[in-house]
Amino acid sequence: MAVFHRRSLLALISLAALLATLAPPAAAQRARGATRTQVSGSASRGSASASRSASSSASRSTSSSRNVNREVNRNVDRDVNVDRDINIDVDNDWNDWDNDWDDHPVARGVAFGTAAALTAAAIGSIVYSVPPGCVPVVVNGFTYQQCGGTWYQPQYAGSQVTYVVVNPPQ
Amino acid sequence: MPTSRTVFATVVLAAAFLAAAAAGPSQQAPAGAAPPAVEPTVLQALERMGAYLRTLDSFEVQARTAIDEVLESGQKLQFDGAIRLRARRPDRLWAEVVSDRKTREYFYDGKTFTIYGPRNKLYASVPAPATLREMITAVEEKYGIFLPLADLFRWGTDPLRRETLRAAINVGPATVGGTPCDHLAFRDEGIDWQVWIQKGDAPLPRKLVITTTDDEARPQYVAALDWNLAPALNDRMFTFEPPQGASRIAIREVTLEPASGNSGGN
Repeated sequence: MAVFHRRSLLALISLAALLATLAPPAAAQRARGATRTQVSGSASRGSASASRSASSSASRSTSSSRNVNREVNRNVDRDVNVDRDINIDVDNDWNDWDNDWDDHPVARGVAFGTAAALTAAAIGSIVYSVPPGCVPVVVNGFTYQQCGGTWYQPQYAGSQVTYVVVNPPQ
Repeated sequence: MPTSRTVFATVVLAAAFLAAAAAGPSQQAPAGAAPPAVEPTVLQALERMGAYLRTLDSFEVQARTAIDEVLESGQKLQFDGAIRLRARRPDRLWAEVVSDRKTREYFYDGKTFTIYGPRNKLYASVPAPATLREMITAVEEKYGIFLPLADLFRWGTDPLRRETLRAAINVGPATVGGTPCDHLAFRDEGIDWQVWIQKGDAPLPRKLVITTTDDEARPQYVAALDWNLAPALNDRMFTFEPPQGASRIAIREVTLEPASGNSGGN
């Protein structure tokens, strides 16, 4: 039973991911995001480099960057959207919650986009931005986005804002 | 059947070979083979800069930056940005990073670290260590937040660099924005980097270029720095007060352990 449940959940996630990748208009390309901005510190050695070497075989083949830490920093997987580039200097494109231009997250290996208006979003899945019509709700001092029956928790992941699907907060 | 072109090529090759042989064996072997040395004087210059930076009780830096982003296709794009950073030792930091894509402010007042997006009006605050240097490392390791120009706080205090440093050379005199500098260049694991250090009694870094060498597109990050060594700073600048309409959100801790499979999830 549990196995089946898990599998259907996975199927749902991949469906959502597929829809998300199909959703953006025109040619959405991803950046590798490996450009270094520091010569010292944990980005280039120590604990991070340990994780780098340990995960190198996996990441080499996908040509994404080598380090979870670093990816967060480097704005990995930021879609570059040709259509939107035209409007890039328009400031009010940025301001609202639903904007996925300002805060592109890291979702290495998972193709997430703006949350599609699906009825069910799997708990724990992460999106760049929430669907239109969501309502911000403050619970225990932290702001959530309620979108119908789905709750998203915005969070800083590195310097990016991502939205995690969570159970209704109490 | 040999064409005139292949004959010509053969002749050229032979001539090149003879010329090389004529140059003599003493010159031949080291050419191109020996890696540039790690020059002790260059390391000393770096140390001196780091030591000088640590003498500054407070400073303000503005930097113009450019970063290459490489698309999966291999196409390289460049994005301009600007950094403003104010620091007061031992326990105050404020920084702002502005680019076409995103604006972030960072506040540290000795107790709390806050990241804030002035455009999305979202902030996250966490308790922070008691000193600047500890804080910078802590937010990197715990939250994956890399503060801009963090090298300024680490140069000359980082003996571990020596192990992987493959080259440290003095390129020669240069000017950055009209200021006479020494141009130094380094090769390290995964990066080539260059720094232009102001000549004279105030050895400040005036320009930094980092080339990422483990991506075949070799993307670069460039920062040109303007310094103010007598900034007017006060406590309020470093303490985050949520502006009207700002919302507090969570902050995600990064896992340093590599996930066995998909590390994109949580």
